[in-house]
Amino acid sequence: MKTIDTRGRLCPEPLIMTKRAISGAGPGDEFEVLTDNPTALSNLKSYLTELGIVFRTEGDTVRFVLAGVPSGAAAGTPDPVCGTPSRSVPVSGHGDYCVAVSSDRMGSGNDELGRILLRAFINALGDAGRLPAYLLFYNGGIHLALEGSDTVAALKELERRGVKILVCGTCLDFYDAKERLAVGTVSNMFKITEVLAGAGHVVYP
Amino acid sequence: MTKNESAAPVPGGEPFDLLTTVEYGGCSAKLPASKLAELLGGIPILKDDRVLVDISTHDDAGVYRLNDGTALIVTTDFFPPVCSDPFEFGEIAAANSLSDVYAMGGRPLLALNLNMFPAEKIPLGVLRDILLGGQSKIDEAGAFTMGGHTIDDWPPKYGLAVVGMVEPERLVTNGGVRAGQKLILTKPLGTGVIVAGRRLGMVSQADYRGALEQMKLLNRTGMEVMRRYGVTGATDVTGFGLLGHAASMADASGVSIRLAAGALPALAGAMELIADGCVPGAVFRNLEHVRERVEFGCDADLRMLALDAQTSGGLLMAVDADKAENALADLKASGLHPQAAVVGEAVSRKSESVYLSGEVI
Repeated sequence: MKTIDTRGRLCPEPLIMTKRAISGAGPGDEFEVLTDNPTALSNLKSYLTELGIVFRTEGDTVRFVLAGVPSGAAAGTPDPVCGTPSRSVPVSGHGDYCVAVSSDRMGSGNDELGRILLRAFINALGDAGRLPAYLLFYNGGIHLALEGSDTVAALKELERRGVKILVCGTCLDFYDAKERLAVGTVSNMFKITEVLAGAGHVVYP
Repeated sequence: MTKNESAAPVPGGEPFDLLTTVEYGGCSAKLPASKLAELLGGIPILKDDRVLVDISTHDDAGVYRLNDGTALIVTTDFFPPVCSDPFEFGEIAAANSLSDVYAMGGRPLLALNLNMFPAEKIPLGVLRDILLGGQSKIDEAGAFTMGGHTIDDWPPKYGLAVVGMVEPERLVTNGGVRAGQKLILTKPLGTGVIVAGRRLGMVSQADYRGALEQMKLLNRTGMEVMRRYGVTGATDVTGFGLLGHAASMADASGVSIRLAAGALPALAGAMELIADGCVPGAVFRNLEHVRERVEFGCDADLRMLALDAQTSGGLLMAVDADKAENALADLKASGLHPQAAVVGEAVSRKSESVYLSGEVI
């Protein structure tokens, strides 16, 4: 475990210290970055997300394990022309899959158990090795993105880490819930269809 | 006037370094665009047929038609120091303010100085030098200074309110882009990165000078090229970065914009700084602003270049495909825009506003 102490440093110094440390490291190397101001912490998390690095945050400390050579870290020679072979990989570090949530329950059987399972699924998504590119909510699934739902915090964290969260606008209108949308972007069937059709694979929890 | 002659004397004889007045680092607070849009949405404004452009399209300036031959362009902009030398700061802030008029295809006519300056904390000679620098750009633009307003504030800030003129039928807006047109960017990107790196002593003098010269450069030549080739859609690239301004332009025009990351021109030294982790906080604010409207492909470092907040950046203009080569050649022939480049194209509207990819356009 390598500790990068950025306390007392203002942006973008914490980012520079972190980037320099990981540029000289290899797969499997573990890091913890100490911060002492909210802006530095926020920028650092955004930066790691941009580099495709999956991390955990505990208080003011960010921990991560290098999975591979991060983008742009290889001897400072970023590949200027890398192409976009598929529209389903919008952000590096994200899988080419999307998750479609069509109900507020997971599986059939007991409704209460179904709700608990779906909540656990959403919370566990953040720990997945590769995040989905998109999270889609439609029909009863939209309730997970509404004010008061205990999944909102986890969804906001996923969104902050670059997962695009789309919520069916027709469904929000149907349930008269547009005012209560707490996370994600109101979307339409055109876009949702495009995402489903373009995804490498779709996970239906 | 040279840089040294303009430097204000302070006790000890050293010139005053304006960069010491602003927060060390690139994280200074700025109103997020989304919050501002939400707030402004709650303040209704009157519509009038003579108002050709208002805030609803997030354009560079407002435009009011006086008569069939003349429309007024009004705009203002000011900010804290982005460089050490007061005269150069004045030049850059004024060039940045005047740029909004050029981005609408017009010519600056009148200017007002907006000064926020801490008279007790900084020698007044510094303010004089800022104003001299600003005046040099107002003169270069052929506009007239009509006055201004000064209040005590820390850190200092400077900029202009500018009135320009354009014939209504030659007005250039961010909503005037048509599918099939090529997009030309007139100045290299990376001013935010270079200024942040400068504060940390990571930028060579040559690279710093290179960035300053680009920021001081008026967008007048770009405006002239736009008029020559009948451009109807353009914007200047400033605080929201190339992606933010391209997204606004795409939305206002009802098109999508494809940008080729590999074609983006960068200031000398900027890509090396980004690779070293020197990424200002504004990059991440701008990312939040466009995340839902941009499909990102390609290298993380180029994404961050495309999100870098520009001070007095270049024009992003949409030129008919058969004229793009000549327009680009004219920009380069001026000697002022050696890094002007075709960076993308407008296509028929798709789900995202902007597609940033490594594909060659």
